[in-house]
Amino acid sequence: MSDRKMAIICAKAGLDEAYPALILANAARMSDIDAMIFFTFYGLDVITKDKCDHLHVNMAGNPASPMPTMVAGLPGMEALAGNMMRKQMAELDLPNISEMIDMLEASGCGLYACELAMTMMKRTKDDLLPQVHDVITATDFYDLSEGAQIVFI
Amino acid sequence: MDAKTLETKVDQLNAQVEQLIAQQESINLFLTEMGPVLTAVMESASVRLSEAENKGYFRFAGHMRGALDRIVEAYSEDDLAQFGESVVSIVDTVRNLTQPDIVALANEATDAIHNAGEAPPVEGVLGMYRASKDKDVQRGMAVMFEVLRHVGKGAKKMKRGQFNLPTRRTPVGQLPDMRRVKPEQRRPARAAKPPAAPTAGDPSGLFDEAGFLKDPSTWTREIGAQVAAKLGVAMTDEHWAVVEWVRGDHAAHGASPNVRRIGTQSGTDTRGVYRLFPKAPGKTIALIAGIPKPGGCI
Repeated sequence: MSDRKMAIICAKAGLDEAYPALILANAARMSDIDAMIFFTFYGLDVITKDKCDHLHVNMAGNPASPMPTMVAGLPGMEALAGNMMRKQMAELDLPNISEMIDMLEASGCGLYACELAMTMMKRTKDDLLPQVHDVITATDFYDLSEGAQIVFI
Repeated sequence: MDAKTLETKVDQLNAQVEQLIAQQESINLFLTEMGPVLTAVMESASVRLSEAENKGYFRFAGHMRGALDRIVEAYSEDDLAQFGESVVSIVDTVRNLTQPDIVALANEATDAIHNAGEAPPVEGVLGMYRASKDKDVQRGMAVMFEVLRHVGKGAKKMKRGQFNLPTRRTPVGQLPDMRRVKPEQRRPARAAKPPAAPTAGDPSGLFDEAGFLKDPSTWTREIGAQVAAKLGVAMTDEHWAVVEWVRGDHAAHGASPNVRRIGTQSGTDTRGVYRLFPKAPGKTIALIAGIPKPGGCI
């Protein structure tokens, strides 16, 4: 089992898009599988200090959403849905994003940010959570994920 | 016939007569008990029957029989068979027609017809223009045009003979199996079996097939040490502290704690847990501590 490796690319910042990436990485570490997450584009929000605990969830255009698109597109709906989902998760005692990132780092999962996305969004390493290991490019990502199963979320 | 046989025969006859007498007595008893009950029943029955007669039930039944006679004579068996096949669509149509809102709408329409005598005549083109400015009239016209449209479509279908009432001649259970991949050709589903721990198949019979201790109460420190040795974990006091805490938590809550719980509540943080038990800590600690595998994915 320990020769298996996972490399997860997290490119989106919805709650329903970021959590699967983090949970997959955590479950991999719990099963003795090496894991790393590469945060790029909007995934950077998941590891940015002042945004990671305020992620939204977008119901508009989502065929599985309980809210019709016209209502979901109204101002404030996205934030409302995000608040509701975060409250539900707190009631179920599921960890929030910063706690999950902490758990991942403690379990030995690699956490990397995309250099190109950082330049585009004008962020520096200080804006990111302290648990993030490094800012790397896509080529570096390929080197690090040698032999790994790559999952794009 | 000698005396002995005669005696036996007389005894037998005696017994039979006694039995008959007993039966007669019980029948008498039954009749005396039932007598008043039966009278009461007969009385109430006759009261009900005369009520029914007064209400006209029997005359009605007589006429119904006459009507049934005429129906049976008028329609042939084929007609009835056809009726039987289309009865579902008939009932469906009746059901649609008698939906409460449709009935209400029909009521409104009939109201207008009732008061038909009082409606003023519409005078010429100008009169029509004025009448069509009423919003309700406009909506009514739209409905009528829709009805006309559907009737027109139906007429077209009728002309082309395209009205096919759905009739199912083969019951669903007897339709042929049209699946492309027959059930016997399908690959058997693989049950999710996690890889067994090194303690699986231990001859002592204390461990189940996955390698976990069957009964947590049979755990001893020696068993824990043996399991740890098999798993290649060098136990120190820190390791034992975690194991003891985990056993206590399992006993207190009935459920094995997951890594997150151990990391936040046991006194050893998540980093420490992964340092002490690097490979799959949740499962490893459960194996060493003799408790079931923790569930969940956080």
